[in-house]
Amino acid sequence: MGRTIVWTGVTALFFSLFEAAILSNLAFLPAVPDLVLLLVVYVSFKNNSMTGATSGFITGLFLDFLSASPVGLNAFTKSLTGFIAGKFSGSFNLDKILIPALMGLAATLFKALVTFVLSLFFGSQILVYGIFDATLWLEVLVNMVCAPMVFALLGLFPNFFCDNPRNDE
Amino acid sequence: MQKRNLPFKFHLESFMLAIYLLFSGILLAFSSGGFIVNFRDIGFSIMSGAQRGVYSVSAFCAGTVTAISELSELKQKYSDLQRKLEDYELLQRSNADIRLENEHLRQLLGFTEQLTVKNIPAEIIGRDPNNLYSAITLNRGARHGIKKNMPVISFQDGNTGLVGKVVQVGRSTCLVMPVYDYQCFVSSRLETTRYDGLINGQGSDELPLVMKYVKKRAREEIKIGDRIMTSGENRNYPGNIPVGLVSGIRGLDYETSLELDVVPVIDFSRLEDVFVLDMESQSGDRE
Repeated sequence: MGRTIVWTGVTALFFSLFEAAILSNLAFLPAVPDLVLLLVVYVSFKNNSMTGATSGFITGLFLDFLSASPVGLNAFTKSLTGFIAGKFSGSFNLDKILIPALMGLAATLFKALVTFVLSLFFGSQILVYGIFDATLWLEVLVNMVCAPMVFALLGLFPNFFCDNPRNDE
Repeated sequence: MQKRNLPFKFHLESFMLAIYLLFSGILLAFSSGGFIVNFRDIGFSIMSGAQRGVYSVSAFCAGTVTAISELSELKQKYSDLQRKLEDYELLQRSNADIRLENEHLRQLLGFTEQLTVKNIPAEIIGRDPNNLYSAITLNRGARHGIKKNMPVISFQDGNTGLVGKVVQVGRSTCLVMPVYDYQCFVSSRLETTRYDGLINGQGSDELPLVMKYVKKRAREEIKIGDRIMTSGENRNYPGNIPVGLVSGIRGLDYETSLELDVVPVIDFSRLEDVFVLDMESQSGDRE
């Protein structure tokens, strides 16, 4: 588990910097894809809840330090997302396009829900997605489009992101 | 020895999740309150240093790619010119580029000289990765004299305009909350009629700003296109910095104030260079 978390952390660091320094500056992108969320979902699904929650917590902290959001917001949402995604580990086969896209959809909506619940406890410092806001649905769309690509990319390195890569084959 | 049966089943993963969520919650509580150890400052300094590195590498790569494409373009032009014996064309083009760049730099230089407040020029190196937040990262930090809450302005197409204010300072970078952010409030005033109000963003640079709490009796006097400036109240922002132009007027009969739609004078989609103002230096000079 330790090796998987270390590699997930390294990859999350790269993804979060890539999002902040490059993707967020691309004017043609309707919304910035949450690559770190997709990474957490992939790692959790390929391993278990424990690995998912731990990697979610660490990767969320990276994002918290780069964003204007309150520290702990991403750590909280991603820990919980990782834990839940880990519960589905091995429940179904991961195909190339459909399942990753659906996982991207579900994870983004779950993130929006958790953010909303947290805003009830921590007040207006936490911004929430509006159900009719274009921001939410554009992010859902870009995450759905990016999920198959991110999953395919991470799938090239089973030794880095799976505790038992042989089971994965 | 007989194993003792616990009244509940211990799940390590659930226990760890609870620890993570608790720790995240504590961080959240601290970041919204005022804890003596600022985790955000420490983390931001580390992460933004790495971000600066990524920006430098990407800028270098972009520069290299551009240089390669420019090189091939120049080669093509050179062969064309050699064939046609029209060397002056290339020379003129280079001159035009240099003249444009020179003009731009002169404008920026002239602008900084016009400012009575000490200013720190900075370049935008990144934007918020979270779609709900809209912070901008600059390549200047505490090392360059940047402090929290310093106002940020820019100069675009001959116009000065308010960009936002510094909300987070790392060692060599800082985070700016732009005027279009949900959490940004700027006390402002209509330039001609002098009615004041509070400008607030709507979270996106594509949506207009909203000026609230404008007296209802001002309705007849306000016109579309009127300029709105900072009022300078509370000294959060310097006075008379243009913020935007009125693009819409709204007011219902049962409400006591008007709401104005305001288009920012700064086009944030092509914002590159900004100036961070050191208001303390101005007050120090006065003393």
